[in-house]
Amino acid sequence: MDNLDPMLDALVVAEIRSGNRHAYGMLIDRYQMRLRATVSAYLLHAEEIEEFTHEAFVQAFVLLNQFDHTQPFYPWLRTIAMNALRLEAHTCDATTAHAGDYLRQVLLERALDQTQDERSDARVQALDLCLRTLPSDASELLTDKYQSDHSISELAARHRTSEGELQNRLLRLRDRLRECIGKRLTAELG
Amino acid sequence: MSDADTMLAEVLDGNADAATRGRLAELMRRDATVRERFLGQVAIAGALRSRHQPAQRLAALRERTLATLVDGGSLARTRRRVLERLPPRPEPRRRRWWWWIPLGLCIAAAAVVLVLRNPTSPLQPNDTSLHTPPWNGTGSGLRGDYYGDHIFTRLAGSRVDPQIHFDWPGSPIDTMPADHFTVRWSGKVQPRVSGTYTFIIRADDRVRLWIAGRLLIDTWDRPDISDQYGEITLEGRQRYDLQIEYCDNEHAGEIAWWWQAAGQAKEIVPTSQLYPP
Repeated sequence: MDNLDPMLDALVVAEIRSGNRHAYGMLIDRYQMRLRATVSAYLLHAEEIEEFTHEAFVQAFVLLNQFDHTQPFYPWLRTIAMNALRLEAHTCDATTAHAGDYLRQVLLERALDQTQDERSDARVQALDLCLRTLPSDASELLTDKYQSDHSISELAARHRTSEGELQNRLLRLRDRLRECIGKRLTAELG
Repeated sequence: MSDADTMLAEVLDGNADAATRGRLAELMRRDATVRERFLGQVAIAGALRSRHQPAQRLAALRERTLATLVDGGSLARTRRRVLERLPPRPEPRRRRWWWWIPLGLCIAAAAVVLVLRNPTSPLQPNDTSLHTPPWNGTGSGLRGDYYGDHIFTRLAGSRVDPQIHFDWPGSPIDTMPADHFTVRWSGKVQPRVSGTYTFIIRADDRVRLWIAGRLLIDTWDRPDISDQYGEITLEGRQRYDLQIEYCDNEHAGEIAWWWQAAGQAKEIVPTSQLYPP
């Protein structure tokens, strides 16, 4: 995923353990996007993704004395986040949940599958490569949609199209990326 | 666009109403393909959203997290606040129970004199029942059902626990995991004397306490490792239904359960006053 030296993590952790809590900011900067990407595969709402990411970092800090500094930091952090998602998945039952709860629970239940967290990293890595294959207007639309938090109506006006057409386009783009990622993951496994 | 696609797009783009979410949920329950597509679309949308996070939002989360860590409070308190997403809870008000001691002694002395002067009283000097403490029960503890999950379905074992005062560094019993387990204690509690009782529980992570069918303590949705208080008025020597549910999330499990009342100091609820169902 990235080529950061794991030894650097160990040095940062040692610095934090010696009392410099602000050094933790380096680990947050380094792994925040990656953790957000992992967490967001199991949650629907941006606010919830934000909260889970924040809580995972806080919990990792609280448990930092238990971290084995000879191991890489991110898998440990991801395990903390995944455990929180699994706990959330246990709190209600998808077979009895209704509507919005059901959608949320279906997503969370996937966190119970241990192989998913390994795949989430590979998925994000493949996404980067797949995005490069998109035409520039499609990339621009995705950037507009996911970076700016514009509503669909604002985006439709901006891209001079109807809301329905825009939603359709986004759906197809996500399908295309999903297909591309699937192919890359299959090729890697093969 | 098919109906399913329209609903999917609306849900993913955040402008679906409750009816649309309901219809999509129904469709996903019936059709595994729609369910899979939904999962795939959410994963891609999430990855895209993370990839395109503006720098200021990333910086905001870093600042917020660091501020949580360096606010001068203890780490445990910080963690609780984050989990609760609420301001710190005020300390419970201390009751001035000691005012009642002299008044209680006067009333007790007057009552004893009146009873003993009455010739028809069964409590004449040769009756020793006054001198034996009638308020100690004969209980043996509460039944504890131990489950290896968070939802009380995978029963790993049951036993009678003399008291609720545990600090488990690992698994409470061999047949269940060290983390992510639940325990349900049930039985009856018998107060020694009539009065208002304060029950106190300290648990890491979640706990609920019912007495006589009343939910007195509940941190199930907002885990809190500080002492939790619940009050109820009980008749002395009467046995009341009791249930405690406890959930351990991660790391060491800990739970302690006390009571206190006017004239009765805070103590772990003793075995003699607890009865299995």
